[in-house]
Amino acid sequence: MKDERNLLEVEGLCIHFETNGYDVQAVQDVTFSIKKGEAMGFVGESGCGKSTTSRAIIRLLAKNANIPAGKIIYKDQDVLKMSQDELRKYRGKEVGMIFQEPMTALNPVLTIRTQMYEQFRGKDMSKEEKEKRAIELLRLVGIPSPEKRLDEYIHQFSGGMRQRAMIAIVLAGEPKLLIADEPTTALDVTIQDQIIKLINNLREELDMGVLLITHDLGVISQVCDKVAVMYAGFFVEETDTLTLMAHPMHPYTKGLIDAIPNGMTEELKPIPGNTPSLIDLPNGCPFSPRCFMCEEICTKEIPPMVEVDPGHFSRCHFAERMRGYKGVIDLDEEGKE
Amino acid sequence: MKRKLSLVLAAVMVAGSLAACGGSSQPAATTAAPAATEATAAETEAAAAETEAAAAETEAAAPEAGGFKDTIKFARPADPADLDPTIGDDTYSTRMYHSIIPGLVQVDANGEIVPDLAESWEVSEDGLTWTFHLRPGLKFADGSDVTIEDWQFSFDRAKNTEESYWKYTAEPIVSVEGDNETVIITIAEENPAFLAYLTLFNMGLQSKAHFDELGGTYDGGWPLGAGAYYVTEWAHDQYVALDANPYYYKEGYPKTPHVRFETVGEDNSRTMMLQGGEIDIMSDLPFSSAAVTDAADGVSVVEWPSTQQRYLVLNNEANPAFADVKVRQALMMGTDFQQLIDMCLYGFGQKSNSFLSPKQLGYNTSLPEYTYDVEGAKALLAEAGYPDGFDVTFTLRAGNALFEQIGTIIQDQWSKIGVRVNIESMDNAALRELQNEMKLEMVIGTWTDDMPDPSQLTQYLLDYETNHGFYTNWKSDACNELFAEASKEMDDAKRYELYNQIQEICHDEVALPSLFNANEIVAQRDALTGFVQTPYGQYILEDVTVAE
Amino acid sequence: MDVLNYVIKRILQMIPVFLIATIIVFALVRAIPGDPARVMLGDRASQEAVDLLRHKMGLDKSIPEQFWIFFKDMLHLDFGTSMKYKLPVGELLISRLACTALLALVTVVFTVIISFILGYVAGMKKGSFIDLIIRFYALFGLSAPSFWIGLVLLDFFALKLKLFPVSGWGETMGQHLKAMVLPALTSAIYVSGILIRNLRSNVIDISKSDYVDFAISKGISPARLSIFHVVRNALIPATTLLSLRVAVMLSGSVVLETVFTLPGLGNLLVNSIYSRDYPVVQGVVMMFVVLVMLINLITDILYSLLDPRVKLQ
Repeated sequence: MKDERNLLEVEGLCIHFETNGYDVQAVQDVTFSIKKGEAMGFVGESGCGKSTTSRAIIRLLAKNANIPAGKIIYKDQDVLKMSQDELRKYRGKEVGMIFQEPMTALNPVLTIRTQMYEQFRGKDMSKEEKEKRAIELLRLVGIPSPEKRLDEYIHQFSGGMRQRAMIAIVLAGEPKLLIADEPTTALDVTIQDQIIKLINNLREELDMGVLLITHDLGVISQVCDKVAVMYAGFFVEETDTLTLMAHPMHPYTKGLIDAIPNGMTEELKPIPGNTPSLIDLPNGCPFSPRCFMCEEICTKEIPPMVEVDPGHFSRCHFAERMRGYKGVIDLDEEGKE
Repeated sequence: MKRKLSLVLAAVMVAGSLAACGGSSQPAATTAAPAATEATAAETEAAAAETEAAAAETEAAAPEAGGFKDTIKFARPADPADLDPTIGDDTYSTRMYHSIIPGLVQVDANGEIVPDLAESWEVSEDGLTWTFHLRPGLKFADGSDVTIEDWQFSFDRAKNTEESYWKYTAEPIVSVEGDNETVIITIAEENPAFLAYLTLFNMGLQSKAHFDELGGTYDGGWPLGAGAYYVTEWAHDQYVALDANPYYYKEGYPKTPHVRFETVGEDNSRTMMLQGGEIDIMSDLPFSSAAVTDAADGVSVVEWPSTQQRYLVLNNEANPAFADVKVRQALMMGTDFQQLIDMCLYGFGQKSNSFLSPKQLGYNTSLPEYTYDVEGAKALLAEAGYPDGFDVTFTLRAGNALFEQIGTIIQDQWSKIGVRVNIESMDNAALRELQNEMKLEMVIGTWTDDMPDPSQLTQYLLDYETNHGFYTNWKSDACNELFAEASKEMDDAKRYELYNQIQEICHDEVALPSLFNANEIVAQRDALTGFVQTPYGQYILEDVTVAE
Repeated sequence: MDVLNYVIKRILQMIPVFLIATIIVFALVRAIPGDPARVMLGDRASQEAVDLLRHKMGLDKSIPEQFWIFFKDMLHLDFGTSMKYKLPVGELLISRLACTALLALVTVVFTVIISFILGYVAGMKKGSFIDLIIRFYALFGLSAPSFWIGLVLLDFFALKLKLFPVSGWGETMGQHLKAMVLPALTSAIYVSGILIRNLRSNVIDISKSDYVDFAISKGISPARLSIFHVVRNALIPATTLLSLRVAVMLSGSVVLETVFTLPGLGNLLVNSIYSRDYPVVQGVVMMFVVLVMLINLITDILYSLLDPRVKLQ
């Protein structure tokens, strides 16, 4: 039964790239949904497929990509089957995307005004109305002296302001679903904080769905209601954020959590080994070469995504062995750490 | 298309010169006078008509109803350098003068001296006073009357322009007197060439008032005369525009109201324009293109006799090998002139055995030819002390295809007699300077006579002070003496005998060997008729019409 | 205000360059063998006559003295009189410049049309057959000798089809423009070869850029994407390239001027060198120096206008 409040439903999405004759299996069997007003996070190392998946949602994949299987349904429409006209109505207005690096994502020779007004296309607005709205948006994202800044160029903005400007432009389209691809990765910590607060505020005020992509679990914990962990193109674990932080049920997630620097006393604990090549994935579970629990079956069969607890999914033959592992947060014993 | 041969045979020229009817004074004047007198009567009647009517008739005479174009478009590779007749003596200037500033007498298509602004003349017994009877009612193209002041001004300018090479021709003039109908010129000494001098462009009649209006200089302007046309506009490096002179003495002429000399540097472009009908006639067609151009529809190549010669200038100051006459003779024997002519001229020229052109009066026809004899040449070189030959640098004007051709042919021919020719190309201005300083071993010399008299070139060749024997460092006291005599000899037979002797000496001493005498070719549309080029390079345009 | 200050600063910087160039040309042209007086009077003139004329023209003075006279006159905007044409050099330069400048203008128009369209299409359709054809055309344009292209165009369009004049540039503006078509096209074929390659590679790079992706993610129309994002950015380096080529065009092309018989600066310079017409050679070279410096200045300003990231210093 479909939940009427589902904005986005993705089922069994597979994305392959053809490069130099090789077949890169970037995304495999990804299934998830996002409701109106819900914030979902994708977390994982570089190359795990999180950005690719998010780009597929607005069909912004490279020319050499193909989607052999899967569906992306947005409000009952099959995104993968949309015509160019339908896509243009969909992009910007229904789904908007914040890019990682605002300096390169905004056109350096056009003013903020011009790039924001592009979002007003098709709307019956007078010049004054457009300007009023643009200034409002800049103020909304916390940019001071918005009247002056409208006619500036992106290089005239400082670090955090750039990201805010991009967010303002994306918001100008009034999207129902906001995809934020590593929005804080390029920023320093204090500004990161501001942006996260901004996203949270906006989400509340505008009831927007959010898909946040990051490699930083800390950011996930501040923004997202639920999170999916990706590895080598697969979802390996999916559940709500608190549960993931407290009781991860996948060895990779454990590794990620363990790797979070904890104060200044301990050494960093990286996960041993390297991410696999997406052209030449190992047989069976993609994480097997690095997994401390690895057994023969792991190298032969890809584990299916299994609901280990209500609403908590893990892709591991031996997920149960993770029970009892304590994550970052201790939910059971309050006060103790 | 058949090639139209307007070629006047050299025989006619030779016959003419031997018949002592050439440039000399009295006999010609006497024969000319009665004819001129008859002509005068008719012309007086014509001149009696109203000036305005004459102007109207000139207009009407340019037949529009018959379907003729109103402008002759003549394309040439370069602009005239200067239309000041005392200075501007380059090809593109000299050919225009006759149309705009004719003088007392002119040369016709046959090379004969005939009346121009003067309809008849006599010379006094002592040969010092020349009386010219002008055609009545002569006017300049702006309608002003021709007065004796204008004649005085013109001759004075010819004589006293310091930088002018041509002033020597006006040098003999002591005084110019007369009135509106007569010009009486007194010269210091009897001079057999004087009438020929008067055909030169620097002796043309120019309006003094016009000169004064221009501020006493032709810089940035041009002279005003009483010719068939007058210059109306000169867009440098583009065109010179001329209009018909409404007051021209010859009624009904010129036949075409306008002329435009277009400057089109590129040979291909000129030819294309001619074929496309954008121009009616062009000069400086390369000989190699003549056959192809003639074969094109509606276009013909016409050949005109010319005195033009190309020489081998052997400078013995720069290359001592040339000092020995045997060496020079050996080089003559080692040169296959016929091959040169065949390869370079495509039949538009002939051999010449003298420094004088075969088309010029006084050309010595009994001079022997040098036979091509490689072995003989080598033997002679050995005799002169060069058994292994020698080296010579041949300096050629850069960018001239004909010269380059000559250079390579000579190089090839002389290699067979052991003379190693090294060719170097040089920009014209630098070449001239070095040539003048006598630093160049061997160059190609050029000359075209401007008047029907052998004295012009002979004088130049023998003027050692000015040009060191045409840049060869050759001189001959014997020739100088003969020339001095010839310059005073009023009897043509004796005079030409003296010139024959001069030419013999020059031939034997290989003073200035001629490579060839080339004719000139013009390419014109078949619709154009009436064009004449005199053997001394004057264009006669008054008869030209171009059918539509 | 900034722009104005910048312009003034640049102009001040030009002055020493101009002076040095003037001195160099002045000395150089007198150092080559060949005497203008002899050129004018011809082979037959006596050395006496030549010396007379040299004296009249002031050529017998020492070079520094000649330069001083020249310099003083220049301050009164008197650039001397041409020895060959007997006209004031300034007048001569301006009339020839008019022809060369008009040719440059028409060439720029043709070049922009040809190269911007073809460069864009080639970049957008990289790897396709049309891209191959366009790249072949660019290579052809760069390598084929312009006199050959000019003659071919002349032969076909002027001689056979009679659409354009074979030579000369006419008298009215209308005739001038008509006469410019074939030579400008010849020149544009070459220059567009350069620009197409540049534009094509710019377009390819830009197509991969983030801001194009971002713009697509906003759902803007393909037309808007092409014009405002792709072309707008691709033309920045191309415009600089073209602007610098204009400096080359303004120095005149002897080849084009000869083939099409145009009274431009190229032929003027070459002919005046042949005749050792010192004042004209100096005048032309000095004008080039000024023009090139001005074009560089304009290019820099244009660049800063097109790309707001660039600040004039």
